[in-house]
Amino acid sequence: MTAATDAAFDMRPTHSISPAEPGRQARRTPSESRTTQLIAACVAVSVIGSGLYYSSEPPIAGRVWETTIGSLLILMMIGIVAFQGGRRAPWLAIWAGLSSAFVGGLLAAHPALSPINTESPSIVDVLRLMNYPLGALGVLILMFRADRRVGWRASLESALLIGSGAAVIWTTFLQPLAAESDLSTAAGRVAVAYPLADLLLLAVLVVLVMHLDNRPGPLLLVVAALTGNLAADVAFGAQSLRGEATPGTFIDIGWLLCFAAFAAAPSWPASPQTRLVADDGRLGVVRLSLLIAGAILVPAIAVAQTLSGRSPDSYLLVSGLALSALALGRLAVFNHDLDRGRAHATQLASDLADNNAKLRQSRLEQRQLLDRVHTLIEQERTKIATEIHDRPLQNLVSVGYQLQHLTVLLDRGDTDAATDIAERASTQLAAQLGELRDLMTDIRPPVLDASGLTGALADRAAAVEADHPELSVIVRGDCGRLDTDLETALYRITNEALANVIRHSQATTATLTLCRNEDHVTLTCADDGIGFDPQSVDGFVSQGHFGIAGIRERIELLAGAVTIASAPSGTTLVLTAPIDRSANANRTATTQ
Amino acid sequence: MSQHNDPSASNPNRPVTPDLRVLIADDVDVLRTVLTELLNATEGIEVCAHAADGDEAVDLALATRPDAILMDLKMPRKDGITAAKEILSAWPEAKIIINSAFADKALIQSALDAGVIGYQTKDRRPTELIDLLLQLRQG
Repeated sequence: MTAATDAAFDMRPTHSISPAEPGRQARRTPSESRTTQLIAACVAVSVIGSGLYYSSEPPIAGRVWETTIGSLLILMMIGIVAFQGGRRAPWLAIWAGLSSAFVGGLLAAHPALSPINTESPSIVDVLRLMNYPLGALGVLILMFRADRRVGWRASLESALLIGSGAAVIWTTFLQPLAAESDLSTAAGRVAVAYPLADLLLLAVLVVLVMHLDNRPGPLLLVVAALTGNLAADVAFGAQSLRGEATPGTFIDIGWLLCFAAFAAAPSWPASPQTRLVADDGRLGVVRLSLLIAGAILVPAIAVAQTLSGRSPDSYLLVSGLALSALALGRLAVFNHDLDRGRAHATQLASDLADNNAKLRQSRLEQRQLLDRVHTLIEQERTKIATEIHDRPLQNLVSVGYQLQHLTVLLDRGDTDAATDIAERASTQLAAQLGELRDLMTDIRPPVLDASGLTGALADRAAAVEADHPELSVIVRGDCGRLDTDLETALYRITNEALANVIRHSQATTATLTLCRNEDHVTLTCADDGIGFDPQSVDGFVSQGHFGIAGIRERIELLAGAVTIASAPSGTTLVLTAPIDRSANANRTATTQ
Repeated sequence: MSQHNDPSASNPNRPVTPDLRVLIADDVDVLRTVLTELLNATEGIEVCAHAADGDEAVDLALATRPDAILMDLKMPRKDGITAAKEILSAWPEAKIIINSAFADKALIQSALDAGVIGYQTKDRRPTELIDLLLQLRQG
């Protein structure tokens, strides 16, 4: 019988029964309703068919049987066409085997249809026996397509099972019968052929079942039915050899079950968990037992024969040797797989160690970065404290002294001098307020929060021009409002760039250009100064300035980038940053 | 109100105490100027020299030998405590008062250890500084 392999084995590449076809797009997954309909149809046909078959008389029963089986075959073909897109070849092999058996049955029932003699053994038996190799072929193709390694190993085990099974059945049941009757007749041979063919397919199926990690319904049903058939065929063969063959109707129900299960199999709904499991270093109790049994069973029979006084058949001894060799071969393959598994595990362990080392490294870098950030913060604070100490504090103390002076003058009644001092103190206070406001702006410009980067840069440009009349700073373009973080960082970076222009470039014009597109903002700072060597790094922080390396690091934290081009005719800094930083979160991580 | 009247002025029979000669050492120009004007306007005090950094302070102190030296702490080229130590090592009788914006105890202690006779923080009212100087004047 054909392998009622679960129709929609897992499509995943790892050992799935269904072949992975690279070129194909996503397969049409069977819709629930259609698969249910087909399976329901198979069940209905089987139930009605068997009911009618057993309740009607032979001529009609035969027609009922043929109709039922024919309908099941049609349903199976529908299922194959509809749901087994790239796997048709093996399924068609299975279907061809079943159809061959069906045609054989038709010819047996209607001898007039065939030009050849249909008396057993005949073309009928050939057609019926063709079912088994075709079915086994279909199953093997499914397994090999899913995983070649599993395919070969499963084939070894199947061969072992078939060999030892055949030897056992022959020795225990059929040989004694054959000794009594004439096996040279074709009829005798055919009587033996059926059980052996059953055994072939059954062994292949059992091995398949052993390799699946999830046993679907149809498959188990077919295995059960086939086992029943094997028993029945052995019995039938025994009867044939004794010349007592009668068509046994109880065998037919087994056939019907097989046909029905196979018909439904291509339409069985996808079972995502079902897949082939390769040897993972464990042979398992069942498989190991089968291997051992296969290896020692036939020699054991030979020993039993010897002990009972008979000399063991030579072919039995030879087959015993072959089977033992096969079993040992399978164990050798298993050992090889074990080694590969170990090597793989070692590789995994080494990869893990590498990853751990990388993780430690990146944690270390992260700590260093945090340290640097804290250092920066402290340096900023120191800078601010120093600025406050140097100017505002001293100036206010001076105003205090002037007020005291004022008191002394008023005591003396020198109002003119007092007025003079008062005015000077007032002027000084006003100047100091201006400086404090500048300091505050330096710390965080209110215009940045109020009107965004464009406005803040315009203000800054004006301030720089006021302090450095030889430099002209032009602001062009607009970037609208951005995230506070982004605006602040770009503002600081631009200030740093401008500071560099002022300090080093001897430029007369600096142009700041803002530009915004869908997901990026670009800021260009170009000057016409003497240029510098972009390779030389200023060092991260000095006197509160953070240099080119600092600009780069700061913009990269925003998932952005900076390019610097410098020539004796001028320098151009181009900063780009994504407007939405979260969209580029991965880039930040990999920029390290 | 008038805390700074010279007691000797009201008594014509007492000998006139000369004005206290003060050297001001501070790197902030505006503060130096204003303090100079204030002290000069104060009865009994006269600014005889001013220095803008530590080196100048040492040179002028040793050259003019003022009665009191007002020394800022944070100055370029040489800070106040170093200058004070230098002055005191050459002229142990020097009377140095630190006049600084900083007020932490460690600094005060190290200044006193250096040998200064007083430590005034700039956030105090100027009258305290003036009183201190006038006390020196009395002896």
